[in-house]
Amino acid sequence: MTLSSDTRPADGTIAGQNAAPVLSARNLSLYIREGRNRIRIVSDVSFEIAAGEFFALVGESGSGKTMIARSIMRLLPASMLEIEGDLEFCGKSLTSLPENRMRALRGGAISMIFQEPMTSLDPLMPVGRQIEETLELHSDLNRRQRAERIETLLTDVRFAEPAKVAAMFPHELSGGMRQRAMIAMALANNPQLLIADEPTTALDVTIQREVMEIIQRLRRKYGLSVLFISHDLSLVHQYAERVGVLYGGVLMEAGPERDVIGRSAHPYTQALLNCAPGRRVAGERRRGIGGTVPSPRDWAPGCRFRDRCERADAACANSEIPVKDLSPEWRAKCLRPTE
Amino acid sequence: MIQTSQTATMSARDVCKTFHRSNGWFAKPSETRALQGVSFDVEPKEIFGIVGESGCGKSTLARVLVGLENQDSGSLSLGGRKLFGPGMADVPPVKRGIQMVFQDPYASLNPRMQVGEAIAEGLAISGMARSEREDRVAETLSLVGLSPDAAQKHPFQFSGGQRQRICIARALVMEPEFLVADEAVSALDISVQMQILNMLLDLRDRIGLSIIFITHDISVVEYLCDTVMVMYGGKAVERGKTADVLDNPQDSYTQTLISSVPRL
Ligand SMILES: Nc1ncnc2c1ncn2[C@@H]1O[C@H](COP(=O)(O)OP(=O)(O)OP(=O)(O)O)[C@@H](O)[C@H]1O
Ligand SMILES: Nc1ncnc2c1ncn2[C@@H]1O[C@H](COP(=O)(O)OP(=O)(O)OP(=O)(O)O)[C@@H](O)[C@H]1O
Ligand code: SF4
Ligand SMILES: [Mg+2]
Ligand SMILES: [Mg+2]
Repeated sequence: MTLSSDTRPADGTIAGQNAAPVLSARNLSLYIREGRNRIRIVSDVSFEIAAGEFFALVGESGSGKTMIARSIMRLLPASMLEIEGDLEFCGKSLTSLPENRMRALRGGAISMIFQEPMTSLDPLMPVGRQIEETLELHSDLNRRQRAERIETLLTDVRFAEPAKVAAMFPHELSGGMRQRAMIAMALANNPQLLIADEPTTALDVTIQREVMEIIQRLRRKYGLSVLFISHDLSLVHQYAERVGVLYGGVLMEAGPERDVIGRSAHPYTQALLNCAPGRRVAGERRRGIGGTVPSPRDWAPGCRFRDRCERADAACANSEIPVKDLSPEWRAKCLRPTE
Repeated sequence: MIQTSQTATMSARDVCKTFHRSNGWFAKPSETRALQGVSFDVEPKEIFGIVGESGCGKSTLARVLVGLENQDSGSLSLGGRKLFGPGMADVPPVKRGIQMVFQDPYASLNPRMQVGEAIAEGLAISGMARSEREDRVAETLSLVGLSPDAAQKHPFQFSGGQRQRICIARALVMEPEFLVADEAVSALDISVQMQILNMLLDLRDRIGLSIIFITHDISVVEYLCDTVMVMYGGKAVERGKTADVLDNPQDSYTQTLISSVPRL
């Protein structure tokens, strides 16, 4: 299989201009089936993640972040989630991949960590044994090699006593330790792409920083690409190289972090940045955004942000909103982005 | 018009609370010393933040203040009135003048009850006449930015942010001198979170509400709170004006905490 991980250099310096992206989503739309109805929850989303790159998807709740992650992993049955458009992993279509090939990728070349580690750790099995199971599934290491690999992995996520942790059950670990154990498990088979869905949201900031630093270090060490999902703009600002901003299942703005966060062009991104709390100078208030995030059942044609947008006018309600290129790698879906 | 006394200082002294937990039949019971002598003062009209890592005792402190949990020792007074302390019976929750708002606006509203009834529940218990209750509910709803016809609706008809407004209205209708908010904006979308934070600032300005605001989010404290107390392992390790503590933390845990916060 061309997806094997041993073709990658270990130093992670492979983000060449012409290399195929590790992940590309092209005109991705997702539909949830509810009885006889089909509800579109993600509309026409396109983005690419290069080798070794840290790409963040940010958005408020219900914007479709988790659904995009799950569609990549195909963690939802086709009877529930319908995928339109294309998802490619290292140049190969994932949407048309048969389930048995997908199973080989999942936990192998692509792996995922979740907000609540307890949902993906087996409470009845020691941590080391759980890592060993994914090694058995995806590699042909013998028993001794597996034991060595488990030790390396647990050391990589900064456990001082890997052997001791390997013998422990998930409930004996703190939240941060569990999240680190899950990262070790996700990295067991040298994935090329790590999908992290709000991996630190349930953690204290001090532990959040520890976990983020571990992800960063492993990214450098193994040339890992990361799809990082978050609602925390300051976290994304700190760690992401490129950012996509989702609202109501639509990718509103995408590009390098220094553009999207640093000098955002889209009214929604700007408004979102204005919602981030922080010090108030001379009693001044942040305005925030009035109204609430619309649900997929209430989406009307036109721009999904228009009820809450200060720049909206009649055209925003009627027309198909174009995607404007602000630079070769920065774009916004808006009739009136800041130039 | 809903008013608060605007003069009551809250003083807590050496509040202690230990939980005892049995670990099955044979294991030794374990104890968690959730509060180990916490003291602080909150001035009238002050917004007082409490931060600290998960499990450091923030919620336990909040529950002790409002009377949902009994302290082991220590004392609490509000405007010279003793609420608990050595040699006296604890003042029951309804008579304390302290109301609480919780993190989860979904779990804390009865889905079968109309919003108006839910808000007026405490007033009904205290024996207020129906028409007066209805007036008070309408007034409180407008105070939190909801229209009076919300009273006839059910919780499921509201978004998360609106439900949190309802919970805050339910607390305010009792005309508390103090509001204790435990992670009250943590479950909300950030666009909605800012609306609630601004509403709390307005309530302080308009009716002189004093607020104890518990959160794990330092940037929220920075925005909202005049004063902050940092807790660690059941103790208050640092306390001061928010800007002073953030700019010049003295305690080593506070230093770690503040340096870990990602910044925009
Ligand atoms: N099983 C389901 N059935 C119907 N609708 C669903 C289902 N799961 C999710 N949705 C809808 O799909 C939309 C996208 O949900 P998703 O979980 O991807 O959001 P998210 O961006 O991850 O939000 P959060 O920040 O809350 O995790 C939401 O509007 C949600 O209501
Ligand atoms: N009813 C209880 N029985 C036993 N232990 C308890 C009980 N309530 C709290 N504790 C323990 O007391 C300590 C303090 O808990 P508390 O809920 O006050 O922390 P917190 O600071 O609010 O944490 P978080 O940020 O996670 O909400 C914890 O160790 C907790 O496990
Ligand atoms: S398209 Fe119109 S409504 Fe939408 S973000 Fe741009 S200006 Fe606002
Ligand atoms: Mg999600
Ligand atoms: Mg708590």
